[in-house]
Amino acid sequence: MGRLPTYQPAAFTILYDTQYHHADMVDQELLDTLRQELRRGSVVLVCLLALREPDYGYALVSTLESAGVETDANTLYPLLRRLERQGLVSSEWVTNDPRPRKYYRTTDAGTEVAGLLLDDWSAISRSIEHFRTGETSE
Amino acid sequence: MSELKNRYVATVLGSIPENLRSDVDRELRAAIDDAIEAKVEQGEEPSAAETAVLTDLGDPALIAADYSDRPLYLIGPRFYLPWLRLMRKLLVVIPLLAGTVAAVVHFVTGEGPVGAILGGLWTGLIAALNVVVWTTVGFVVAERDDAAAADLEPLTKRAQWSLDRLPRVPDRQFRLGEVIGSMVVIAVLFALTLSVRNVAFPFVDPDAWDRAIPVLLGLLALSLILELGKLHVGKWSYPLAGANATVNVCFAAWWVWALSGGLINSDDLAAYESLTISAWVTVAIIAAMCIWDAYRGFAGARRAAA
Repeated sequence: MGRLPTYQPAAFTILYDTQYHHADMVDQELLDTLRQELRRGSVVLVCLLALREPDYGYALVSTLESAGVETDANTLYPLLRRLERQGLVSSEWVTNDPRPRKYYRTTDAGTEVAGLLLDDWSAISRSIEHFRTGETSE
Repeated sequence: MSELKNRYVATVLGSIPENLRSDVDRELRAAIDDAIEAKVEQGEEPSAAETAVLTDLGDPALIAADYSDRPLYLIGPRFYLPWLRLMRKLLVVIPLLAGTVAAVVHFVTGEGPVGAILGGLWTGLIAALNVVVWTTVGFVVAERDDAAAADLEPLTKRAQWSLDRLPRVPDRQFRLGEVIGSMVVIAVLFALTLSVRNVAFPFVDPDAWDRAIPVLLGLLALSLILELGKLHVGKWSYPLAGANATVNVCFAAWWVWALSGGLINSDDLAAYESLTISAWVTVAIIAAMCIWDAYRGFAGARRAAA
């Protein structure tokens, strides 16, 4: 179950695997909100990338978890369904598992969207890096 | 063992669209079973694992809303401002209209002025409540139904923000409410003056009274025109301040003349002596008010010119 996704871009590792050490004066609740907002859009991209290898709901949750992506099952299942309706993933019931499971797979359109989102992600990452180091690209 | 799971899944299914039910049913059950299985493999008690998994999944209504793409708010950011703007407009127009009509009907059907006013107020209140309820219901439906949202489009378009709708804050010195308030006060004074026109007061010279009242009425009419001018121009200017000062000086002069004996029947002069102190105090207060008001006009004109 604990399979790692086949492809893990560096940007995700930075965001998700960093241990957030912070001073006591940072309001934990505020920090949680900010981190949640920062991550919100990235879950779709992670799913599209992870599902290039077909997977079913619960396995995807575990896969993401072991890759350090914090997701809630209760938002992931509806999300998969939404992506399916948007044509970015397709699904198929597989009945020869111990129990019938619905496998999702990223469609060609989904792969294309993931590529475009990834470009944006890299651009954001570069911008952040630019401001973090204070270096100008010129 | 799976009684809780059945109840959980049934609750979710109960509030999602029919066409999703069988599929979500199978998938959700499989996912819950997978999660329980994983926990049991790690050595947890099956029933404890079930409780933990279901607790982790959280409020079934939340998942159901997510599955069916239902918003978890009554009116979202797309419609909140159009709703607010429309509501503000309707809350002024409709109750006022309904209240006025009701008051007129009450009056015509023979109720006294008090009954008519109360009837008007009550109808206005009911109209306001209806505006709030039905406007809100309309937007709440539109938030959930695309066809209804399209129906509301002309309304939301009209309530949309645009640059030329920005209120002209800096170049208006007079507030509409303030000016209307002054006009109401002037109208009341006018009516009061009219009503004492034919009253014969002790010590008052009837001939002087007959000459003084039209002057007072004229001055009140002038200040009413002045208020209309304020409304029209929107801010103080030196000519407006000058006119304001002139009217104020005339008012003060009228009172000084009246209270210093101009209205007094000379036959009763002896009786008037005892009134002198309070008369001069009144004159002083009125003069101070007039000077203050005249000054405000010039100060406003200077600010507006700056």
